[in-house]
Amino acid sequence: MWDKIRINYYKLMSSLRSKAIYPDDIDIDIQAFFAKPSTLKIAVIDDSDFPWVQTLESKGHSVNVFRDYHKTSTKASRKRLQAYDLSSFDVIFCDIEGVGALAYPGSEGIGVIQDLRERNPLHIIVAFTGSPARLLDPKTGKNLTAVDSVFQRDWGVDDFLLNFNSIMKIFLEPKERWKFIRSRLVHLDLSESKIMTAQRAFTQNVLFLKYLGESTNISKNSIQKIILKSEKNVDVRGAVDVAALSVKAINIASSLFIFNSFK
Amino acid sequence: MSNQVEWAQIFERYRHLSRDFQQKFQSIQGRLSVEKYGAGDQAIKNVRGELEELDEIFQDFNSWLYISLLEDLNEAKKNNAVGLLEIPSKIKRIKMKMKNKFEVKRIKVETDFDTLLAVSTYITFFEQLLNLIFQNSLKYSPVSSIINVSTINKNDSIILEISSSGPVVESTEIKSLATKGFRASAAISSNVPGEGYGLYNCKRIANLLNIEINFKSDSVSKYNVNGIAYCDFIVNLKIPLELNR
Repeated sequence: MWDKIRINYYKLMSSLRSKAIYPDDIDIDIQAFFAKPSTLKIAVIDDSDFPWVQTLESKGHSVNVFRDYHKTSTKASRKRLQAYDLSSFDVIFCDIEGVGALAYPGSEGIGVIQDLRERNPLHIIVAFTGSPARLLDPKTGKNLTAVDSVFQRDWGVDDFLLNFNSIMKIFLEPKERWKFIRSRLVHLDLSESKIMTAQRAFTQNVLFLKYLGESTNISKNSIQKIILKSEKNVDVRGAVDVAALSVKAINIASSLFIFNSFK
Repeated sequence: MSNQVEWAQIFERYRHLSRDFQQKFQSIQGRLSVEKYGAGDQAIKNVRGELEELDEIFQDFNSWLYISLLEDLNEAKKNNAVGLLEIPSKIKRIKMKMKNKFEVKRIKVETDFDTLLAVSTYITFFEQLLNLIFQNSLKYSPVSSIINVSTINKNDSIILEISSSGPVVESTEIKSLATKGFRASAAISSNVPGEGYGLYNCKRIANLLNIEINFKSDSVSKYNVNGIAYCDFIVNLKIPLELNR
């Protein structure tokens, strides 16, 4: 009974304070809410050997390597060009040369990334390439696609891990998480007012998590359940009107839980 | 087909081959290492030595490929990705890479780093810049000397200082050190071979990375090595934390 009152109190507090607080200002150590280290589900689309599988796995992440974007194991699948469903992954590394050639002759990996981006607007997509220039329009010099990061094929292990850790922050730090979500919403052409509503929903859930974690004795498991339930109740229908995005947007703060690994 | 696309294709292939080469190379080196294979006979020792020479040749080839890109800065930028790096990790890399050369001259590299901060820049070019600076230091440093490396964090930059011993460069010549083909008179009289391209290329890479580079020959504390006046030669780099492209 007492717990229920406290939960409602903190929920109300987080709702009220979310109107005045920006995600940058929320000081919270997400890692502290988890007993196990944070790990990600990573998809790699690369026709040659992706050199960092073992490195990532040694850090606890799970890595699935796809030789191409479309299933090509049978004659029928080659004909239909059915893309793999990568929606359950947190991060997708995509090569530029030698993948997607059947579906996107000429643009190859660029075409793959454009399709991935459309299907998974809130996923982190990283171009993994030996030729970063291929990501630019040769005439205008502008980016041909919206990737979240570009990793060069010949970087050393230190550089790879440092840059990967920077991507990890998107899952662990509210500030970085919101920066990422915001950039994705801007890319999707959402109006400022809609982005602001999504920001409040996000801030509210992160604050709610912070209050429950720091001011109550409720177990971590229970907090996770409460937050997930709370997120399902957040009304962002007014904020997000892109069909493919709405489901993901409801889970905005769940993403802080490394949601794919947690669920 | 435009030149841009050709460079992109060359780099795509080159970076694949480069990674394959290095993986194979390290695998062979590992199998023949003293730890795994034992001391071995003279033939094995010779193979180890030749492998190290091969690695140096490959690294030189790699350096010149990147330096050749500097003829067109726009092309250099397009064909390289900006990423985060940490300076201590890059100094460690170069110490490993030049370990044998340092040992031959009994040169020590001592470091004093400020709190760890990541720099966002063109990683491969930054590595080439350090290669050139350390090659220059190694070339002019007398036997049994020390190269001091330090960093100081500023608001939006890191000051990296690499100090080594070298022939005294007169103050009138300092400004010309980064000029193509220029060699200071003391460098010429030291009989150390050179063509005046090392620091020139340093300056070109520094410009690409928005790094302020300055040279200082501390002629107050002079000493003599084989009749030539030596002092501390300092390369000072102001490295922005974020590369403004």
